[in-house]
Amino acid sequence: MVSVETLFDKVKKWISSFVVGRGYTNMMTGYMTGELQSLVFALILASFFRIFSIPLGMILLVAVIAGIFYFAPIITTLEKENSNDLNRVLFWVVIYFAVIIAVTLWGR
Amino acid sequence: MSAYPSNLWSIPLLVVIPILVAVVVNLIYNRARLIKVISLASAICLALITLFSSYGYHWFTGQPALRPETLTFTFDPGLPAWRLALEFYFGPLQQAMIFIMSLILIFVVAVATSGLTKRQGPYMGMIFLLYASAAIIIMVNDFYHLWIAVEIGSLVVAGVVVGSGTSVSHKAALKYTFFSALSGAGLAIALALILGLTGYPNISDAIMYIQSVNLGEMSIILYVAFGFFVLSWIYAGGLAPIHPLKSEVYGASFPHGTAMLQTQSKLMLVAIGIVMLRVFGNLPFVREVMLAISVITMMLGVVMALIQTDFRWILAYLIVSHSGLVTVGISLGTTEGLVGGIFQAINDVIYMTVLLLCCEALYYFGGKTSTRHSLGLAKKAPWLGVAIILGTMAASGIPPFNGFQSEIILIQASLKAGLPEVAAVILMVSVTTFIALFRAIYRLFLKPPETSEPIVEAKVPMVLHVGLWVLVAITLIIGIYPNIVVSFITPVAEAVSLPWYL
Amino acid sequence: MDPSELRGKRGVIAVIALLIIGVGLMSSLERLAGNVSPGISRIYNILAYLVAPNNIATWVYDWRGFDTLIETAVIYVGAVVSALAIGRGVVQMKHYSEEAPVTSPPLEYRTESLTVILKLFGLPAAILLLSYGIMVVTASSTSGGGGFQCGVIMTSAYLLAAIFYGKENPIRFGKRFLIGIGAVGLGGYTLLGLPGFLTSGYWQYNVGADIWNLVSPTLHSIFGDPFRLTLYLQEGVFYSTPGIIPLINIAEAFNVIGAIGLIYFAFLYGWSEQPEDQEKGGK
Repeated sequence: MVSVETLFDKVKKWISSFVVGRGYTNMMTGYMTGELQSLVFALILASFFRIFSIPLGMILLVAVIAGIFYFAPIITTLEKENSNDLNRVLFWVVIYFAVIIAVTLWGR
Repeated sequence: MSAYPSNLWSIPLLVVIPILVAVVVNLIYNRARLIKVISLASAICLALITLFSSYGYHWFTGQPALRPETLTFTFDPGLPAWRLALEFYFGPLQQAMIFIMSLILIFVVAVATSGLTKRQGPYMGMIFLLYASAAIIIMVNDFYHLWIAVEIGSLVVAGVVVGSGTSVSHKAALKYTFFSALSGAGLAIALALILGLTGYPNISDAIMYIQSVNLGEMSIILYVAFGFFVLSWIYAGGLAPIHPLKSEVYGASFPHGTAMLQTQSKLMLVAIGIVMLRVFGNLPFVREVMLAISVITMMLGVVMALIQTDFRWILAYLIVSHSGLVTVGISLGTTEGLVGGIFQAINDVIYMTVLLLCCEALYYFGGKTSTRHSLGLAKKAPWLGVAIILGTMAASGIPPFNGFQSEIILIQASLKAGLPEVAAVILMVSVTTFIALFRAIYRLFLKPPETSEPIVEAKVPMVLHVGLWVLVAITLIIGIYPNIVVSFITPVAEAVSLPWYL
Repeated sequence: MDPSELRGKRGVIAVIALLIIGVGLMSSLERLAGNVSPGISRIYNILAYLVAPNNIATWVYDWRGFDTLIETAVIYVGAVVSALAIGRGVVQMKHYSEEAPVTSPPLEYRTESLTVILKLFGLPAAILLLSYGIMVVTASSTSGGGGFQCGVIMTSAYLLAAIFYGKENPIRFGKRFLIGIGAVGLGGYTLLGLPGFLTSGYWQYNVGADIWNLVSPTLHSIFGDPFRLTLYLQEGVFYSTPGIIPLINIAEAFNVIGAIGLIYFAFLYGWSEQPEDQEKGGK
């Protein structure tokens, strides 16, 4: 379970694993804001599915809230997945493309 | 006769002049003076051509069109007829977009030629070809030519990045061109499918054909073509999931190069987005897919910008994030959405150039852009501090700057379409843009320096000052009188727009 | 990401995704089979005989001539970017530089180890290739072939000579020559649109063929007469002229020689900023 205090500690632990010295406080603000932003964004994204069906949106919203409690901080994963590594980008491109094809072809 | 000619004089010049300049400056290679004169003169020339040109079409190679009813050939673009020639169109929207691009080209060329070492021939050539590729994509009404322009555009991006010669830029360029193979081939497949389905490379003709016949089962081809088209749209504009590579490209080139790169990619996003709306807009789930990609890009870009520790990389990710802002409007596809999206693209290009020129100015103060050090530059260069804060305000949509005007249109458009979530995300993006930028500004400009070692200082060239303040003035003028630009966008937005149903 | 990460769950997901893409693409291609719409190409085919007997030359350099110009520019840009990556024209800020520009050393290869037979064979083969290239470009409008093919053939002769004899090879294309010829090629192709633009208003209108009667007879014969063809067919005797198409092909050949030659040059010898005669191994 996470509260904002423990979230702060977890992010702090992550940052201090690769930053030492004075840059640390400055980065902490960025990471913390990023973390909160992405949590809110996940909630918004889940509620988006109401345009397909409202119960689906509600279920997803509850699922995301539950997920936040278990998986936060997600900024570390986000940073890793958004790396400029070719294999990773290629993997995500394939996934996105497959989803686009699947949704447009069989979504009707 | 229609009011528009099929041989408008300005269209070929807008494409051919940059190509010829690129050839010439590449040839004269290290004669910096001459390169400066030629490239500045032609950049100004291009801006003037755009400003004074009338509207119309150009049918390259002068082949007429065939009227299907009478089976006669005509040179009148107003009649419904199958085009034999390659068609370009120059209208109000094209004029606005290319004029802004020409303006930025002038400043980029001026800043580059005064700030760079000799042997700038190939690099300047690349900047002009960047302009040419974007101009083609903005004006073209032909699938095949669109593909070629996207191809040359991505190659030129690599050239601009590699021009700075650092190992980071080499890696960025290599990765980006690696994906151009994927998306270029993807666009070629999309093109092949559409050509196979319709037989017409001209976009309007293909649409006319699709609307005139009952596709039935064949419409699957259109869906798959759309998938591949989106892939190249994502690539050209650096939307998610290609955004790590595109932001690397933005971060690794010189700031003035980035200004031109982002201009090209945002205007390409608009142009290709409009083509996609025209061709595929009526298919189910098409705009939802585009909207989802835009929203994800917006959010990922801005979150990644928050955790960067270098001003250049913060800007790089913000540019990506704001590309998402542009495409949100286009994906909505309603009149307001389109106006907002295209207006946002134009505003975005201007205020990001302000910020990038400020970043360029940092190079004259020792070149430290990392936010791990505090420099206290505001004391050394108060004018720069003011400019960067004004740029930040424009970028984060604070009135009376231009960013506010387009973001408010976008927010209204998404509310009107029944998507308050999108409006919320747009608001989050503009607030977070402010946080991300101000974090860097505080460290670089406002916080007193931590070390006592003096900051190296060189004389900032006059053109950089001029460019900076002219662009700041433009952000203010557009912010106060948005109709100057919006009136150019509205006719196209009304013609292309589709109602949004849920 | 470490490639080994793709072996686990991610690999399975990626394979499923690729399968979905494959099924989508195949199902659309299957629908297309046998149903390809001819569209505009019917009209192109009807009109093609009016220009060059080689239908493809007419398509590539007349109907879609401006497409081909940008394609040509792609080759040129490819060469300039490749040379830029090797070190030609790398720029830095005057007052600030992070690190020294990355440059690539020349390839290390030794021509001494090649056998005598190869060296004897090399020169005539290169000469034959060069002449074949000239033949291909001159016959562009009447038979298969054209500027691009000519350029590729000629640069392959250059590559052959460079591999067999090293930098002191019989085909001594210097860097300034290659850049110049590329510029002449692309610039020339671009400017060949000018006569049509100035007279008819249409860029790259084929003033020599003038099938739509848009220009004066004088201009028509200036560009058309040198390449006039008489076709003796079963249906009778026809006169046609490809107009500016042969000229475009020559420009295209120059561009391709310059571009691909520059890529070979830069990759084989690296790039240094001294004039050629002062370089190591040069004269």
